[in-house]
Amino acid sequence: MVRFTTVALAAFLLLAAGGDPARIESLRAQQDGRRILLSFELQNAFDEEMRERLESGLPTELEYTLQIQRPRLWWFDKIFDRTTLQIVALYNAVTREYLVNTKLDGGLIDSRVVTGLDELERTMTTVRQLPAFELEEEIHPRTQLMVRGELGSKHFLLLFPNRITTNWARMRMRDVESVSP
Amino acid sequence: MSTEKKVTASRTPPSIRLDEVRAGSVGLVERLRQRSRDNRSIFGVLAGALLFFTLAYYFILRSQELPPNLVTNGLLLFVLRYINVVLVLAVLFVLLRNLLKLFVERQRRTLGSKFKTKLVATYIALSLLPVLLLFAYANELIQGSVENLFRTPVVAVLDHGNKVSQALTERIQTSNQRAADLLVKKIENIDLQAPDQRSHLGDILKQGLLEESLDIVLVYRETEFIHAALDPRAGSVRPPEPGSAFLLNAVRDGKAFRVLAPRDQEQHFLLAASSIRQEGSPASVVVAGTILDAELAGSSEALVQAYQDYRQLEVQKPDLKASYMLLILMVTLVILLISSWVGLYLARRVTIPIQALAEGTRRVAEGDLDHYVDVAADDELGVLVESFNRMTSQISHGHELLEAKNDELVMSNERLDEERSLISAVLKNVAAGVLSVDAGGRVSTCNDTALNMLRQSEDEVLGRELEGVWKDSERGKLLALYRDPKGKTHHEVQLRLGGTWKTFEAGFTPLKDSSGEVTGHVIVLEDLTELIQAQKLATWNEAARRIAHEIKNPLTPIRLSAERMRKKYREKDGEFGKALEDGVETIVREVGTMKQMVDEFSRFARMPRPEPTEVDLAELFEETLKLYRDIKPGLDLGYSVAPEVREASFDKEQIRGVLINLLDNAVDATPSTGSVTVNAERDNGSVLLQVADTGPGIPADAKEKLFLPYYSTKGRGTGLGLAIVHRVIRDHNGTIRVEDNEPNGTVFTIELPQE
Repeated sequence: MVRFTTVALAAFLLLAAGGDPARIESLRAQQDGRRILLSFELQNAFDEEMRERLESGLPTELEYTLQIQRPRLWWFDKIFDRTTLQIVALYNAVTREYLVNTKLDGGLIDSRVVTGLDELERTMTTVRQLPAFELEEEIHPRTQLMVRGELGSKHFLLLFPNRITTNWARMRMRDVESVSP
Repeated sequence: MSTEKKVTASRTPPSIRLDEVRAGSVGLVERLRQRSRDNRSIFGVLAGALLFFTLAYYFILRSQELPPNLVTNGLLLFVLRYINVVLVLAVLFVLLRNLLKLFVERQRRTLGSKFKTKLVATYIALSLLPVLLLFAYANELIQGSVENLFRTPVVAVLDHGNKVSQALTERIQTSNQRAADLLVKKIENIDLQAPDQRSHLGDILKQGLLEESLDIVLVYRETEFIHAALDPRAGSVRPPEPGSAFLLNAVRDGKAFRVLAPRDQEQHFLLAASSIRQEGSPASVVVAGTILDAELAGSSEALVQAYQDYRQLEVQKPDLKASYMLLILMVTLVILLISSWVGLYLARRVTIPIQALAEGTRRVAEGDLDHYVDVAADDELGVLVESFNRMTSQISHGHELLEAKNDELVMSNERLDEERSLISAVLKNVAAGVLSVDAGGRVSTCNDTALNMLRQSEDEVLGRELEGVWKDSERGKLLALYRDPKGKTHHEVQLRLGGTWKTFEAGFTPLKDSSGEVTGHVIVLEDLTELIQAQKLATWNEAARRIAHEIKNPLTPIRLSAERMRKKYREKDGEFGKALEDGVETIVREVGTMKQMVDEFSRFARMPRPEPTEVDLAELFEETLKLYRDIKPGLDLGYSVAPEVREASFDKEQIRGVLINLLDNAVDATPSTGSVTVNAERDNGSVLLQVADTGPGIPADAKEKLFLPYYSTKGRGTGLGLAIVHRVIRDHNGTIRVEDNEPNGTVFTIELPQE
């Protein structure tokens, strides 16, 4: 009975997942003086539902949480710094262009107009050399850089919110490259 | 349920006392206040529910007029979700709390819990089922309505209009793109930097405007503006700024298309760009554009915007459904909350008095008579509660009285036990023998002294009837006295027990209850044997002393007479003869006195036991009185005998002696003018003999010593006369007493029991 229940539950979850989940790929960090520049890509984020939402003209947001933290075995992980990157796209059906605004910790750092969904997807899911952190002290080599993307939220039984996020993508601080002069 | 009920407390003990009325009035006021608060809370809940439903109804009506994007607003959805979660929690809390309480009550086997469970289940089911059915129906209705919203003809119109708009735009885009391609080839060989070729450029562009029906042609050297040509028919229009990004896209891709809708202009510009790169120089870009006038642009924009609104609504269809569903869910939950709360409240109001009564009966059954059911209710349950409380009060009051009586009884029993112990100790240590006999003649108590006196064991006496205990002839004397006390409470009786004579003084005292009913007797036996022996010894000592004294008195004159005669004889006195005669006479007289005295002593000492015979009393009186007829002339001597006592049984000679003794004294004390009478009569089973005189009487202090040996008021005689009288009467088991005669004199009364 227990085995049957486990198998049934796993099958249900697999079907509910509906294909490859979104994930952070190609996480790469570079150190430029005290600044940490992050590059990464969000894969499988643009599904049919998101495309429909974008073309309907509703503001559509991808939110990336970037943080530096040190894992601790017997206690909660210690977070040194955390940055939020929000990329919001708004479709103008008259001009058939997408206005893409990028905010870092709430401050607008980029605003551009793109045409076409492919370019929009690239703009929203590809981050290149984002100055995410400003280091003020030496970071322990075991410290990790972590990135997670949030694609929105759904509600369970209409009442209980469930955030749709990717898993954390991690890399060690000692793997951070230096920007060549 | 049209009544009010409220449980406030259930541990205040009532009592039927003076303060009960006061306490009751205070309780009533408090109950009324509580009831008033109760009513206010119910009305408050109902008013709140009414207000809520009014607002909800108003909001539902208004929501149909609101734009869809407002209905699907995230904040609204958040608020609705928040309210619903709170309501769900509240409903769950109310239901679970009551179910948990019911569960606990059932686990504890609280009285009334089963009834309460049924009632609560009924109320919840009655409120839950219709509400859930209503919710399901309303939800289906809303879902269907939302789906129908996207199936209206307007949606098709919008869809087709948008397609038309897009097709038109694409067509213009294709035309403009072809024109741009054509023009860019025409200016391919023109040096755009050279001023002298500018006029030629202008001509080409104007020709292009005319040939390709364009409204605008713009020429850029990459992003650097070079030349613009506008169709004069287009009116006063500023050339649009296509933007560097657009131009760079055209440079990069060779072509680009853009719909430009400047905020400060009503027209829209459909721009198509084409570029061509010459070696060693920047690319040339030609932008060919068509102007949509304000009216057309506005219509197109409105059409696109409407279509976009529709698409947004379609995308947000789940949110729209969720919004309505949450709204209905909120109303449902509020109804459920109120109905379940009211249901539980009503169930509680019904069950609490019953539960309190059940608990009360259990507590009362366990003996807690002070338990008070304090439930405010004014219906039949209230009457029941009041009756129950009154009943418990009365029971409690009765119980208190019983306890008080019981305490009194316990104390009384303790006191009786103490007294019984004391009496037992006294009886155990007292020298007298004590027996108690109940009304049935059964010996209930008997001390050791009595058993020793009567030479019986406890088993022979205790719990047995007296007839069986004293059935032998000797102890039977005591039984005879018990049965027939002859008017006396104390008797002296001699018993031969164990071969020896014992003299007892037996007292028979009846025990009477408060109504005077005889409930038994106490028999007290006092062993007088040793006392009598001691008295005898003392009597004999006194007798020896008196004999010595009495003998010494005559001896002195005898000795003096003898000495006188011897002296006369030695002196040869001539009066010797006379002295001899006198002396002999004195000696003879004194010897005679001595003989008389010795005879009396002898008679007293050797008193024989009485030998009763039938005696004619009249004859006896006549014979005796005859002796005194001539002694004192004038003295009236007489006797009388009652007809029923003509004959009596006693020792005739001894009683004659008694009468002579008494008559001696009476005749001696009574003057010649007085009288002495002897009477005989019957008193119950005895014969009373009375010797009365009219003499001076006997002083009170002398009466007490009158029957003691050697006591005399006359100053002569031996003082043994009345002692002998007393001895004779006692030997006849009789009594003698002396009293004053009325109006003067003395009367001796002898009581002789007749077998």
